[in-house]
Amino acid sequence: MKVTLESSDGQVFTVDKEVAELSVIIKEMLVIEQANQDHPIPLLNVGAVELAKVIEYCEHHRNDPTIDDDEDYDSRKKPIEMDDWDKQFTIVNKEMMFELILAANSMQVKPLLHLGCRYAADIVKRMSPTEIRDLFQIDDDFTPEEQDKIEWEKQWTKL
Amino acid sequence: MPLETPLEIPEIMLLVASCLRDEELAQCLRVSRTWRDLFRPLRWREVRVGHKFREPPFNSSGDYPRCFGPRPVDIYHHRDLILDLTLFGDTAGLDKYNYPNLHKLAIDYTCGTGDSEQKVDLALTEMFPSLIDLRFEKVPVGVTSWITLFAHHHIRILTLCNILVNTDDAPTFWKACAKLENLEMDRVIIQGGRIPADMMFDRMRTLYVWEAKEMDETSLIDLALRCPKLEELILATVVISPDTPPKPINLPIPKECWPHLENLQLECNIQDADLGSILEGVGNLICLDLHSCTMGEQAFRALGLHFSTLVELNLQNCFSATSSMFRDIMCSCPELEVLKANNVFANDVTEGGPWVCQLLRKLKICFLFGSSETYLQLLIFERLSTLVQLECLTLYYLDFEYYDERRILEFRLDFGLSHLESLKQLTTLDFNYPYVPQIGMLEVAWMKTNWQNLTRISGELNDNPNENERVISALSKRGIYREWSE
Repeated sequence: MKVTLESSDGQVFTVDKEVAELSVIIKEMLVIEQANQDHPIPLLNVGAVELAKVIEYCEHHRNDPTIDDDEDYDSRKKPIEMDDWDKQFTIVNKEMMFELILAANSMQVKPLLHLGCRYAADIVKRMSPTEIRDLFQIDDDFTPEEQDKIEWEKQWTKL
Repeated sequence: MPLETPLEIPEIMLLVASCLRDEELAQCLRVSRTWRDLFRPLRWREVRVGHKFREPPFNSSGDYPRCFGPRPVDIYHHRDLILDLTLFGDTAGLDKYNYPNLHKLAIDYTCGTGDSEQKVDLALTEMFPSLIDLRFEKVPVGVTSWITLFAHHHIRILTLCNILVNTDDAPTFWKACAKLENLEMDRVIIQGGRIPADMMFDRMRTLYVWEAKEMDETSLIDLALRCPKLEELILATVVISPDTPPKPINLPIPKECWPHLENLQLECNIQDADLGSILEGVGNLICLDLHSCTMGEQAFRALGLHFSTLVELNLQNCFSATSSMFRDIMCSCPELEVLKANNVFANDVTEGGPWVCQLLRKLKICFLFGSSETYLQLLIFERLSTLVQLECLTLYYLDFEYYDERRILEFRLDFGLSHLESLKQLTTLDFNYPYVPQIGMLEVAWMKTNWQNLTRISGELNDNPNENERVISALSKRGIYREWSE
């Protein structure tokens, strides 16, 4: 069975239902609107470029076992397996990957969301606080007292 | 234009945080107020505090601080963020604060406290409404703690280590355990003999008892029989010497006593017939550890009921287990991934059908050969060569004097080692022998060519010290390092 999806900029994509259902949001919508599937499902927060990429991901992972429980994703306990295809898939620039994380988050495509977060973590982990601020254009809004407090707490926490 | 970032969404931030190590998170805390506020709860999730030690904990060098962890005032202000709290020693009333989100509390007096006679009595119900996991180590626990534990709504996990429950408190203690799902007792003394007759532990899924004192095998089995929902059971009494005759269990062991049990470890001195009844009474076992038990005909017949499901089996110190039992195991357990066996006579295990344990990843075994059985060496190598998933091979030897005439597996090319070229997954080789195999440079060259994944080797490899050094240095040049035996 096919499902049609419409991106925020009006482009329509037709995909297999089981592929679209990797998105928790679409899966839930399909349950509610079972009778009315003539109209494309509108995805107001996802542009055509990102949607095409999300669909590409879902096509590849259509047969993966589903993991419903968020607990299972705790990367500290067990990192998700990343295959060669996933590695190729993540070779994109930061802007694209951040758009994809946002798309995966709004569509609730959990494995893609986790893949993206791992990518973001890989960027952040190599950076100093100053570099992180520069990249995301964040202001350093700490008072000296607050900064001291962070350093002071460090004595006994693991962080 | 600033990069539009998903890192402003808290849920995504927390996912990213879960991919970071602690020191990487520490950098993120220093970025901005927003980032600090997002990551700070993670910093306070787990807190360990120690105050007022008599002796320094963990090491004797004396440079360990007498106090560690945040000051009481800081704990007080962040108490709603703390999920997991460990208090070492008498921690100045920190156990009297209200921690609204605390999941796990451990109180540990191992390192000594200012006043060890004073009993700890927790008003758990009011203080820690969300607590599910409680641990006491070497704490003098008073009866009111057991009463409050009994009244508490959420505690499911209790761990006790080095605890004394006296005769007067015992009935209250058992009542408090009735709602638990998980109970672990290590060196716990429970006085007062048997558990009250009508006591049942209907919710218990996991029961671990290590070095039970003042509880004999019958009382331990009695306790376990009152937990019909068990999924994991470990009963280990004080170290058993092979000379002590096993004691009978003075209890009827009903059929299907633990239908959900998957993981069983018994280090008890019980009779073959009793072990047989237990193995008949359980569901389909996945992991079984009968370290030092007596395995006779009856127990082995019952073990056969689990052949199709067993993934891990440890019979390492089961002195009564015979070679033919190990042959049957290897010919009948298709799911087996870990097997720890003991001395096995080559002429017994080379008989029979093929070994079906093709998923075996870890094997610990000692093959023994009679003086005229050199031809069996090749047959053993051929059998081993079918275990293509093998990652860890330990060859060891239990030192029984009547085996003196026996020989071990000669790990050499002229005895057929080259058959093992199929073991491509092998990473670890352990020779745990009282006498040394004769591994030379030829074998080293062969191993390096055929076992690309091999990185660890332990034990002595050659009884000539010079040759031993040469062999070891040749291996380490190829990234195969020597380690201590298990």
